Amino acid sequence: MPKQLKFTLVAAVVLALFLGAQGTAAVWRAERNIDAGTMRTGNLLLLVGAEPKEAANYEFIELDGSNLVPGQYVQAPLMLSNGGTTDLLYNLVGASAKPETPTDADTALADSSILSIYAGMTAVACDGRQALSGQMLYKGTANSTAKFAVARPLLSENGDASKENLCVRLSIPSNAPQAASGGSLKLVLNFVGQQQ
Amino acid sequence: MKKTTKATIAAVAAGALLIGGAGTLALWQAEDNVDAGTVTTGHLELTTDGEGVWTDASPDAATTTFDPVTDSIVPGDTVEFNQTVTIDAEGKNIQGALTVGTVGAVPADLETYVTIALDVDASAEGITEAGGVLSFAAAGVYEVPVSITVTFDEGAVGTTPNTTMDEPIDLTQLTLTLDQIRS
Repeated sequence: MPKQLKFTLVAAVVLALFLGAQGTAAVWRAERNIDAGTMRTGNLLLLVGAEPKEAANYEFIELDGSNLVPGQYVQAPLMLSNGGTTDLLYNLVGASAKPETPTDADTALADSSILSIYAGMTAVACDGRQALSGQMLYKGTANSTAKFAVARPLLSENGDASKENLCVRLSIPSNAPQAASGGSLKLVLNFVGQQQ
Repeated sequence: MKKTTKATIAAVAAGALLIGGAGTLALWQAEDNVDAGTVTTGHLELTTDGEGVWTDASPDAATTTFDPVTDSIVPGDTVEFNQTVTIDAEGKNIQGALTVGTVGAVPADLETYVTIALDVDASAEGITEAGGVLSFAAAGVYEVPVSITVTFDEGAVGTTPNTTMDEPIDLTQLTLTLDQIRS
């Protein structure tokens, strides 16, 4: 028998075996579609500022620190609210009172200034130069380590529990150094919200 | 005599000889019928019963109710879609494996964080489960509760990106597949 014929026969046998094996793999399959609907993931959104100007990045223009002299302070209410679908805990994670390119006077003024943040005060009670009351959350220098002792809860449901009014005061002590004279302040507060 | 005529005569003669030769092979033959009965193929069918029900299986959930229309999931959540399926299985060696097809259900932003899995309750009488393969003790119709679980990994604090927020998970075209298994 010629080699080519042998080869052809062997190939045909192998093909037949392969097809046979394919046949044994053709087991039954039953399928059914299920419509379980569409769901969505939620979101986490910490907003700063009172309605309707609340935002994730809020310009705190209510706190006007111009023309402050030692022994004086400015204060203004700051609203934080939960704009997401998830309950959250928020905290202060650093602050700064220096302009972006501070002079020596700016730095001396910022280092000597005192940041106070209180909860439990209404916006009206925080206006002007009224005395601070309620719960003190932070008092100290506006630096990168500024933080509340305990994170504050804000629920996702509409209502009072979804927002909190803070009273923010920036004061210059009467014993501020002479080097701070002529300096300017730019208060930046960094808050972070974590899913509760 | 023409050549074609000669050829025709020769062919007829050869055919006659061949038929005659075949006749000489008609030796004795005996036949009898054997009744081996009828062999019937079985079947493997899958249907769903009624509407499925969503539940919130998150360990810290305030309630177990979950409505995908009004509720959304967040990192750490586990929700389940519970549905009863009916398996009609017949065949001496029939075995099957249930799987759920979720192609396209989870958007790319969630693929690392959200998983969809199928859990089969094989506690019904007559069913045994081993390694994901269901075996049936006898031909019959079996009611099998299944759970399609959607898990949003909790992850560490600050590790779940905001791109995972407000994303849809389309579970309108889940495919339950029951494949026959040969061990």
